[in-house]
Amino acid sequence: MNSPRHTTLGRAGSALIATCRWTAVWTLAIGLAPTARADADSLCGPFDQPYQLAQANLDGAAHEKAGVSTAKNGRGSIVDLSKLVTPASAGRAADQSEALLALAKNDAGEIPTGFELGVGARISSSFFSPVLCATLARVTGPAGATLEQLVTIVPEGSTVVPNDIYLSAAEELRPIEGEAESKGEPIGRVQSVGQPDPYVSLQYGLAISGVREARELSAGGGVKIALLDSAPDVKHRDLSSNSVRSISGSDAASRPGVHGTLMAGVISAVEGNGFGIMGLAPDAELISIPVCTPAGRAGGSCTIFDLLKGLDQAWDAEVDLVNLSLSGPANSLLERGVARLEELGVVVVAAAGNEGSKEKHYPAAYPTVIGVGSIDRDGRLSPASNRGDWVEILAPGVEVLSTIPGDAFAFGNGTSLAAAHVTGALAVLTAATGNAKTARAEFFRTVAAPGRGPKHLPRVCDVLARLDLSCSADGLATER
Amino acid sequence: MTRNARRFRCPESVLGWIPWYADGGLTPEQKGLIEAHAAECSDCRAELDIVVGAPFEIDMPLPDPDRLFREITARIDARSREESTPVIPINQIGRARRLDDDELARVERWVRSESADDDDATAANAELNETAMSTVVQSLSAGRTWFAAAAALAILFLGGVGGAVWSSMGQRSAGSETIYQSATAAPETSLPGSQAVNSGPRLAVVFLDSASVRQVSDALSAVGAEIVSGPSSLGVYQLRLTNVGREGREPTAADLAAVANRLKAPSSAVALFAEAIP
Repeated sequence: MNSPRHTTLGRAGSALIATCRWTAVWTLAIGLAPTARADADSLCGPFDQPYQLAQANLDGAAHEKAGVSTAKNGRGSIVDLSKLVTPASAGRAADQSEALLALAKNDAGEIPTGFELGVGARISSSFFSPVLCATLARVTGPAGATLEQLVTIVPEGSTVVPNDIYLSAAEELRPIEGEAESKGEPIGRVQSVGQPDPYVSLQYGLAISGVREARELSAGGGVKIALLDSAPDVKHRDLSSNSVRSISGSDAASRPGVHGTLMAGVISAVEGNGFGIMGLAPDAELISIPVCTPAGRAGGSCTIFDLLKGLDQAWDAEVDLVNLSLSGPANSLLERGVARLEELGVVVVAAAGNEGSKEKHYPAAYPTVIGVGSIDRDGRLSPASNRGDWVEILAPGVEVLSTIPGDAFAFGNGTSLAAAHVTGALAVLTAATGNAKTARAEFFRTVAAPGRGPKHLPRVCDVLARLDLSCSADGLATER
Repeated sequence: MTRNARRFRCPESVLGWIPWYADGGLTPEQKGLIEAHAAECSDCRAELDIVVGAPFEIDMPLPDPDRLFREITARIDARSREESTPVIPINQIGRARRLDDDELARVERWVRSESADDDDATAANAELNETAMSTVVQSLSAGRTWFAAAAALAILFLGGVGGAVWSSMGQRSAGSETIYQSATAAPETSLPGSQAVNSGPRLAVVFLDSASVRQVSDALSAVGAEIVSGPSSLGVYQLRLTNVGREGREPTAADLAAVANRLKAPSSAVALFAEAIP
């Protein structure tokens, strides 16, 4: 009796299986990518949840009609995707569907290769992720294909997820680019060390976080922060090229984006250069890992594939903190990635998103991530900020002045900026405590209060006081 | 329950113009209409007395824009109390702060009740632009941003900058380009007006605390700029260039940068922050 795939494909079926397998094997990065760090390996293991069909992507009717089996017996079916008409998965471009196949190392330390792709599906890119302990393959296929149609057989201990798109979360008041800044030194701008930054009085986030009172103790020196975002404009005169460096290698565009530049300014704009603003942690090393493609006025879109790759690069760069000013749907690989970073001692901060919703947004809602909502100058929750018990900290995110490309500045709104404030404050604390997880623990002990729900960003000096580090009244901090 | 209480009778269509009357921003004909109505309407008379009795000094520092808002909300509160409507304390209001849902509903209810059974309709009502206040109500509903702060400052600038401001103020209809085009309902304001001048590049400006109204007014005249909206909660105003626009071309980025730099120049002592926006 014919199996479903034979009824669908006829005699070409067997040949296609072989073709797909070979294609898959030869395009897959099964080797271990050389990384500077091998210490993640000790924590490797199979995925907690063995392969399960993602319920959200199951289209029952189409599933039955096509006769797709669930590959329990290690041999799945191949489906001719061109003959299927299924609703396109949400958020995916019209002409393609994508999935991520994560092949976890097995007990023997090997990457399994016994998977099969559906007809029309191919691996467009892959890499080995030390953070995930898995080879991550980006599987591309025709529009409307479900995950189980793209990857028909998944080895035990591996998983398939949609290649979700995450959106960075800020809106800004965008100035004219180009000509405006090429007209020479603007009046009233003096760029020399030790000059006050003229716009500091508009940066109410500095006052709320209290970072300036702690400057003598810490300005984030020695701390490495990964900014997974669009690329910041590293030529901006208020962003030192010494402290902001970019790692390329993702598929995202590397041209400077407004969103990434806004985040970089909040975290690490140069202090005392007589120009513009100052960052919360100007001495920290901000490592830009461009994973998002600029979109709209101040937004960006980031695929989960690039995001996961970025997490690996962040790990490889030995960062202490990761700023994720973006939000999107739940994704088990992202969940695993951020959880692994947490295990490995990296603190991850993420924006809650700007939908004004109580619905959980990710990665902010993952327990291993600090989810940040936004407040205004007077500490009131921004109407647009997502909210709920899954949001842990509220930080400035309304009318936040920061850098944008072209030596310019703008006021931005959104939980993205709020997340950047938390990252900056944590960088100051990490430099003072020597450890990001200690900093985070004390940070949360300081805000611990009865009742559920998000807490306001604590003042840096209040956290430091718990560690017997005190900021003196005149703004100079001293060690007790 | 509310209909039996003594109601404030000054119709919204007149009330809305009283601040402009006080500042001398109305034409003699318009002023005459207001006065004619006030002569017959004690509530409007009282309103006029309050506003005219507190003239703005052109050389005083930029005022706290909360003041007008507080006055109005205090009155709303007082009358709400009379009418046994639950009173929400709103005396801790910052400038251009957002109303919460309850407050918004309350202000809207009040404004609508004033205009709904308005039996004081006079010639003034007919003559004055009825749509102006409904625009405000709409913006109140849509933007949730209180406009009084902007109105207060607008009054100040009417004297200094003249008719150009009058005709161009607050052309910020819903759905058009706004300062903060976001889901965050960023601080923005809307004021009555009728002419669409919404397009074109603009500047975001924060004035120095020490700048007087006259200094700001003179500086804006000198550079050919006028206030389109503001202030936001952080005191950000939006300006557009007037001179360039009249020459029939859009201001270029260089035009904007030049104006921004002139406003920011230490010698002008006017602006702390000035940057171009599209």
